[in-house]
Amino acid sequence: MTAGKDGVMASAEAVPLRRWLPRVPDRFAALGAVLLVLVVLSAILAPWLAPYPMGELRPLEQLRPPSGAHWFGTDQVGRDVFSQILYGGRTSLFIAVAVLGVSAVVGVTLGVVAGYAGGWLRDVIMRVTDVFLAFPALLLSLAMAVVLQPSVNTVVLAIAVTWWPWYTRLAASMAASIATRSYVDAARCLGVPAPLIILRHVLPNSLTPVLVQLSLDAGGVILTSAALSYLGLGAQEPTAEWGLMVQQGQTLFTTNWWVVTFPGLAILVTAFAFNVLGEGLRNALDPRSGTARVVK
Amino acid sequence: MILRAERVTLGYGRRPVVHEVTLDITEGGVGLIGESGSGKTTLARAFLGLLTPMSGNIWYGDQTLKKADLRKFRKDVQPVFQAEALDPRMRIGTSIAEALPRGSRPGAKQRVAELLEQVGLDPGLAARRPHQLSGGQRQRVVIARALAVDPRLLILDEPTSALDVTVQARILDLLASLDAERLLITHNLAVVERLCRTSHVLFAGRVVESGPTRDLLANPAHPYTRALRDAVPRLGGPPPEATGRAEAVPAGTGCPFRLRCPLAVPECERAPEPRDVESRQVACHRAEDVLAGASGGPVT
Repeated sequence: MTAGKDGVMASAEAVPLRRWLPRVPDRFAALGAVLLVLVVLSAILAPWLAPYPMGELRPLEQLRPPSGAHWFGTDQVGRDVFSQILYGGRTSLFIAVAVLGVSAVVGVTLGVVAGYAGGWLRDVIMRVTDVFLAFPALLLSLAMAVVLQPSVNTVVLAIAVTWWPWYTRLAASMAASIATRSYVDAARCLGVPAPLIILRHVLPNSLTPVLVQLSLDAGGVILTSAALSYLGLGAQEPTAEWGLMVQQGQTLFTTNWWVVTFPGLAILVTAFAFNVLGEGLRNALDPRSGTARVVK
Repeated sequence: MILRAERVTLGYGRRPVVHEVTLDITEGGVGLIGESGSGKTTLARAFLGLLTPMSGNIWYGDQTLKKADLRKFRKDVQPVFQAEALDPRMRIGTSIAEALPRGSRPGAKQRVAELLEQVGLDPGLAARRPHQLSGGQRQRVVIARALAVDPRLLILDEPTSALDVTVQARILDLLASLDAERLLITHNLAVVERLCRTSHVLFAGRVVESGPTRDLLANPAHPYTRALRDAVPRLGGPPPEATGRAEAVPAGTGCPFRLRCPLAVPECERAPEPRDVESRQVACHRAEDVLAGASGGPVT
């Protein structure tokens, strides 16, 4: 370590090498990223990777344990569990991405505006948020499913409706804190319009906890969609979905463990990958967490 | 006179923290002195148009701030906050360029480099982020950003309080060399003596003494100003003593300093009106006694 002339400590020797290396925040985050890439790729390439077509029934091969022909065994109607998991990844990841995308866009937009503007606008937005939070999430989703046809899209809508208020709260508290920082005051004194202040200063500085929360929530969304599927409100046969596979195989856990265990592991690995990646993102997005470099 | 506060009361919610303050920002630098919580920064925010008075007016030339041309006001009056007033995610060059008028954006890079040089920094620092600079460098960047619009008045809110003394001295040199007028908010008497011809001393949201800075510090006429001056530690001198109770009395119940004042008398339960005493204005019933050097207890 060397001290720069203005006192900034830095690893002078490491700078040229680091400049050419991808900036990997930590090993766990790298592992999470690799796992997630594998999950996403296997979902995208399922038609080419899966040894059997989606939902192909083989009545003579029911409940076969893992073998060379069926790596993860077969389920109670003779479907290949490995192939179902590959195809199911498409549905589960779509639900997670769609729910979190809708929730984040709606929630963060409202939250940042509420936190920055304050006053009556914040009161209105936060009271509406409170109304949505006051409903039990599952009850609200059930009510929606009564009105709408059970489908993957219904699951996305039902979960997103109960998920966005949490992002509004998170973003509002962050934005309210950022709005009092002197660099925001300095921008106001320069006459920068409020929407630009929000876009340039408030939103980027409020996003770190939101990104971390998004990655932590991804696993939760997949599990919630599984619960809705179990209640008949979500993905329907013959759509492959991890949660649905777990629910359908739960009674077989003691006798035919593979039917439940492999889809469960798929959920676990994906949730783990999102979590560690989120933690790594938090570190990478905090500019003060990086190695300081010598100021020339 | 660029700005004037006229019987301004300021607060947060319904709670006033600055009470009916009247003061002009005149040429030669104006200092606002007082301890933490005295209302200095609140008053500065009102002068910057960031806080609307509960009562009274801020005058910008011959118009109140409510009716003034805000675009011209923003060009004339700029803040210099502490070194932390930089967006941690923004590169230095982007932070400064944000201050440039829209028409000058094509030549922004060149102008940013000029501004960095003007405050004694290497233009190459434009590509850095705030955490990669030292405190002194960051403070210079904050000054450079304020200078980008060529303001007539700089409102300096504790610009050196987070810096060590050698860096402080260099920043003070830089501030003293600028053409813009100054309103300096500080609790550091040495800084105000260096940069301000006139000073106002605030206590509990009220101006208790105003006048030429040298007279105020050499021979205070208010016991609070004297206590502030005597609280400055001196090399080889005795340690400063904290005297009296720390809290101020509520508004409208007499002199706000009387619970801490060693010279308090029953008359102090009546709020003192500001009056001319020698070269300054003082809100104290016993200003003449303070000037004469009285140290405690009622005069007999």
